[in-house]
Amino acid sequence: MTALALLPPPAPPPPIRPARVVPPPIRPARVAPPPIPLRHGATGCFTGRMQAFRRIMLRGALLRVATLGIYRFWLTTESRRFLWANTEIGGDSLEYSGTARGHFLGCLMVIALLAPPYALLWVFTGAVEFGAVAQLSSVGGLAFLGVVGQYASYRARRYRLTHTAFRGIHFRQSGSALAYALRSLLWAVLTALTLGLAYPWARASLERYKLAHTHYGSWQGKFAGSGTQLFARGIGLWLLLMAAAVGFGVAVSEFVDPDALRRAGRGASDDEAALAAAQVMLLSLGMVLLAGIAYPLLRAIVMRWWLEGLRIGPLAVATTLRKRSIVGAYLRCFLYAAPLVIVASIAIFTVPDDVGELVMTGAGVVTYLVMVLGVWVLHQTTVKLRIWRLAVDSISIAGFEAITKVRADSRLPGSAVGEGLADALLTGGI
Amino acid sequence: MMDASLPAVTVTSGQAIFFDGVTGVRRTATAELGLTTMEISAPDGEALAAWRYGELATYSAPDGMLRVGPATGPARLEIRDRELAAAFMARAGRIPQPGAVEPRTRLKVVGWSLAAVASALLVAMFGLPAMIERMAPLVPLGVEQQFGASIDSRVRASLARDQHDECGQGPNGQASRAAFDKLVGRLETAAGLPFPVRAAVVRRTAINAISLPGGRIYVYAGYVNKAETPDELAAAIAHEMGHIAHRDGVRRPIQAVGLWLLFGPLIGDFGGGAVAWVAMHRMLLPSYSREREAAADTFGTELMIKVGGDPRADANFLLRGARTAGSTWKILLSDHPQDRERAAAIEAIARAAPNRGDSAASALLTATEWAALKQICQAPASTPPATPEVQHQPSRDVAGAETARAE
Repeated sequence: MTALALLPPPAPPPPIRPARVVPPPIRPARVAPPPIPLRHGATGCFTGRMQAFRRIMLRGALLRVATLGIYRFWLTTESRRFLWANTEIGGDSLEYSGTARGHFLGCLMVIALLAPPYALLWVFTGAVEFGAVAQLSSVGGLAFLGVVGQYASYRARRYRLTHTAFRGIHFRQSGSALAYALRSLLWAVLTALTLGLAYPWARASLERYKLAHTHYGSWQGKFAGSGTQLFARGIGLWLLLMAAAVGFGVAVSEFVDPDALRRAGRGASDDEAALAAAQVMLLSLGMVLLAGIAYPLLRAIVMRWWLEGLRIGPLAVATTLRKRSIVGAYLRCFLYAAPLVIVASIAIFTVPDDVGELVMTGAGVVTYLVMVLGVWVLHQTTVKLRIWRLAVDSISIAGFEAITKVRADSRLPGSAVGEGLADALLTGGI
Repeated sequence: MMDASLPAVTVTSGQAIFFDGVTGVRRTATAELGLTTMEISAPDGEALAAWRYGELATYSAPDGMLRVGPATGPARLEIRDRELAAAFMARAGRIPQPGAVEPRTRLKVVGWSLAAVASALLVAMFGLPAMIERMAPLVPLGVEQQFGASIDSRVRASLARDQHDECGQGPNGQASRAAFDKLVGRLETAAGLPFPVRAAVVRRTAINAISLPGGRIYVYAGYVNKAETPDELAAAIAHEMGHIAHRDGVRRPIQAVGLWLLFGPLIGDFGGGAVAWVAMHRMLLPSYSREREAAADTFGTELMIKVGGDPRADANFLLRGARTAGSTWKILLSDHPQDRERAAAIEAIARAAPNRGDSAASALLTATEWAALKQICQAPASTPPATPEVQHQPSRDVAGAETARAE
């Protein structure tokens, strides 16, 4: 059967040049895709289907178990290829060109570099763990790990950007990962000292650094959001949380008998102790619930603010992202995950004791895997993918007609070791 | 070369979107498929590019689009025309797809991962013990002692909820303490250890004894209570001295670092990591610690023979099933059959010994001394506990005392 019958009557295309040796007869193209007109302000559109992503994640989760985790490099690549390719802006989709092999080798390289110092550090801290040195070294160690983590995440961002292209033009990242890491350490200290009040300015400063060192071809990025803006949007949430924390403290000190609580802590089971324990547990549960609502809200606020602040060359991003849709994504994840966790927990407790140790262990491992992998897949699909899609669908870009003016610029080098460090520390992003 | 599923009449040209990789301009273009090259031209006839199939690759793209470009350049042609795409693939043949994860790749990853894990397991089972055997003697004694001191402070903190937890302190415990010290002293003189032993009885009900790096030995009160002869207690201390003589205290950290290097960074991942962790704790560690225990048993038995004690004391104790293991895991892993094996091994050494050890009186302590030693944890401490709340609770077990003797 031939497809010819379905086609409009053949109208040979204008012969531009004699075709080279082409055995079959020349035919016109089918319905050519209509050129997408450039508007003032292109919009984002996510074209991927949830099922396809879910399949990638489920298969990936199983393969991670089968390979004892080594498949994660390939899974990350698969997932990014899907997300990038299905992210359309003004009708053109992003391209991710990173490879799993590069990731894997980068990770191996970093392990080879880090292993000797790690072993030394282990022996060293084992030997001098005492007293003041121990206190200092644990605080210092935490700060060190934080700096290394930030360093790694900046390097990982560089890998992601250099392996992202749009309309044939690559993104790049300049700047120093070390400078970024130190900057984020200082801001982290300040944020901790101010109980989080400095967070908006910290975040703004770090985003400014990242965007100022982001390049799309010949264009440079810029972050236009300000800390004050974020502060104004988030202060209500902060006050609410502070009020809740104070309320928690007051409630515990007012209504809970401290002696009974101490006895409960030591395993006593008299009525008073049980009451005190129940009171504290209930109050803590309330705090956890509050935190569970506050976190998505904070995420939504920050994400909206961040998207609105993005500038690249003459392009400016605007968004219609709504808080409630982000919170909804988290809520959905929770509603799906809770039954899974409950069923898995019940399953593990209903295994009879007399089946033998091997069966018990096997059942425990299987249940654990089902639960953890299930929750992980749910989180990837209901939170990560959904938020990505919401964000992409919500954006519009002003000044997009200028996109034809951008020119390639290959002066900035790519990343040689990939995301090795971030992979080794398991701090890689999406 | 042509795929059988392709339509009989294959297109050789069609419309696509072209990006030149130099500017952000998007162009509608016509692609013409030649035998060896694909020529791309603008609607007005301007030639945009001519790409040889051998130099091309396909890149990540959404469903329904074929994204083609030079393997080493940024220019791209995006083909949404399915027939053109099919015709291109037929012409180009096997074409690189950098970054694509195909079923074959997955199979390969699984295969290589299993091979890597198997090789790491082999190294952990045979290479690592051999390496530890050579490395442990190289660790300076001072380092081990410092290391031991750091662990000791943590163990003491978990053993003793208050400072009166060590038995035989104060004037009331003097006689008991003297008997204990005499027993330890006799063993130590004969043992020839790399550093001085500091042994103590601690107020814990478990039937256990532990040794730490750097020469620390803690005997639990439960062991003292359960021991029927001085030799049974001596055998436990001799066993722990075996650990000290073999420097098991430094072998353990070397083993931990080695295992981390082998398994940690690559598979430190939630799903796979959990499986690896279980496998390691069920297969590697028990077999390794069994070997160390056997070595300490041998040392302990020989030491008992040297000091003229009953070399079978430990075997008797084991066979009475008197010892309680440190945790559920340990009960699972070192069950009674293993105790029987150990007892048999001790018996084998004891059979060759000149001293029979079956005389009613012990060569190690007099009956009076033994009676005093049995009382070591009965004597109250000289000063009362500071607050009633931190009073000792004998029934509670403490995590952290996992370096148990039964390991």
